[in-house]
Amino acid sequence: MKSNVFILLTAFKTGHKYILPIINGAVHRNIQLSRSYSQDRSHADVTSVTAIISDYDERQYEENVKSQILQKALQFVTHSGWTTESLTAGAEAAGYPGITHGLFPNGGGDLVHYFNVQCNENLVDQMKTWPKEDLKESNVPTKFIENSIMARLLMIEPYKNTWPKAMAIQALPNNVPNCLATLLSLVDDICYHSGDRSVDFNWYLRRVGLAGIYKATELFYLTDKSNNNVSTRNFVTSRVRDAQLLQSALKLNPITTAPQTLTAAFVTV
Amino acid sequence: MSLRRLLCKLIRDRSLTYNVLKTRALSSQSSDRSSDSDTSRQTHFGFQSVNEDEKWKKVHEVFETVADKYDLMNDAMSFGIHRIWKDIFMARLAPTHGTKLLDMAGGTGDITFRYINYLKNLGPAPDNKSSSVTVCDINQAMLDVGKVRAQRQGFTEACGVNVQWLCGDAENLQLPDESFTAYTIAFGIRNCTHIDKVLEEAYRVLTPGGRFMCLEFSHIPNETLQWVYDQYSFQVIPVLGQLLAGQWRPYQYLVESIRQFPNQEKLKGMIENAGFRQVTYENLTFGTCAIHSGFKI
Repeated sequence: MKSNVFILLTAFKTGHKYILPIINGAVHRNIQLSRSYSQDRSHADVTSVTAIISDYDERQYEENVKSQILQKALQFVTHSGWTTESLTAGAEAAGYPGITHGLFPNGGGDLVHYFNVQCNENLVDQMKTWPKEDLKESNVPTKFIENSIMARLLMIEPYKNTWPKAMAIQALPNNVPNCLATLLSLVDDICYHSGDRSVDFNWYLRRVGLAGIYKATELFYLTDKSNNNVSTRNFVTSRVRDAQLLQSALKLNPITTAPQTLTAAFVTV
Repeated sequence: MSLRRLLCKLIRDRSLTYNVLKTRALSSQSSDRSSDSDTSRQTHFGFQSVNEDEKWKKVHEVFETVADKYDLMNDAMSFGIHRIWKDIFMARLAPTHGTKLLDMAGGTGDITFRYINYLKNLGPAPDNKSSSVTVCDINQAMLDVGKVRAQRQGFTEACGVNVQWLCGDAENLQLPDESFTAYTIAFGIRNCTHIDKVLEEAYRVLTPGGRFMCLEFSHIPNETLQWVYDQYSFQVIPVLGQLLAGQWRPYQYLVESIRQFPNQEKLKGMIENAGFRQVTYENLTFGTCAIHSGFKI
């Protein structure tokens, strides 16, 4: 009841406001304008919705063509490296002319990125199937982390000869963002699947630490000539142990307890 | 005092230029689409409105008169930067052995020679792949200049690339469907009456996976730089034309047609409308020029 009265009042108020300009003839035009605008908008909404859908399809189609070419290009990496040449050969293998390599303005960088993304996805699929017993054994799932790092590294095996070049390409300034993004998603996936659900500062520490371990191991792996990559595995094991030691040392350190003391102080105040 | 008068004049000129710009549609499509008779269809030739048939003739005249001084004037007007633009253009195309290029509006061979050089630098071609280039221009006078230059600079059969010279209209190519893997048009699309038809023809003659690339004058997004550029274009370039080539009108037309040409985003939209995918553009020298690229995939 009250609200009805209020609406009436406001209607009267606003109506009153509009009466004057109507006499002047100015609002008449305004109303027309607003009408045509609203019509336009409804039109635009309809077209934009269909546009979004077709846009999505279009992009999907383009992505499909691209990944098809990149997939084929990987076959030529052992022969011609992470280069535009491989992309050209890949495009030709996918049934396009060589000039289609222009789809990848970053050249080898795009190819390396594609490979990294592919490997990360593979690793996630693998990790999902791994038994969960490893995770329960102790506070830190060392076995799981070691296994995942090794599994990921062994995906590079077919391209081991050309991988130093790929690492160099990743370090080029225009490829650094992509490289860091794939590295982050890799360590994030490993942390998540190893049971990390932290929401505090440890979240960052674990990921940065793991990224460090992964990159160090990658470098070690490049020069590892041992049978079955035993040395690399030992290397990972000792790095993970180092990280564990570091963590326990930090826990003992009074500095780490300082923030807690501070919060406690604030809470009591 | 005189300085102040000059400044006033410049400012007045500037606003005049902009008014002209604002009032005219930035497209080369006929402004009178609804009319039935062909003769009354209007398009623009610089800032003038002319019949569509006339534009073709007028453009033809322009290039017939400037053909022999074309390269000299390009160097003079752009301080030689047009060479760098074309080099960048070819680097972006990055042709490979086996590419079949249609160099549209490539009369004097600037793009073709860079293409041949690029392929030469790639090393010897494998036996099963042979590259070719078809230089196509609407104007025989420009093609003649190109042929002479090709002989003088040693781009003959011996360089391993099959070169053909063809006189034809970009809007109506006498070439079979899907016969080229790359299509380039450098500083040519602006002079065509129907850009959409040119793009359709480009799409038609390209094989799936083929690349369309266009190098063309474009619009500078920065107002101040645009003003400087306008001053240079309208006050200096026609004078240079008069002094070096003995022609004022063709260079007046040149700068006016640049202003009439669609800007980067609009041309990108037109290329997409023709069916090309992955359409991107890159500005050169603050947007004086732009390289547009699209794929038929």
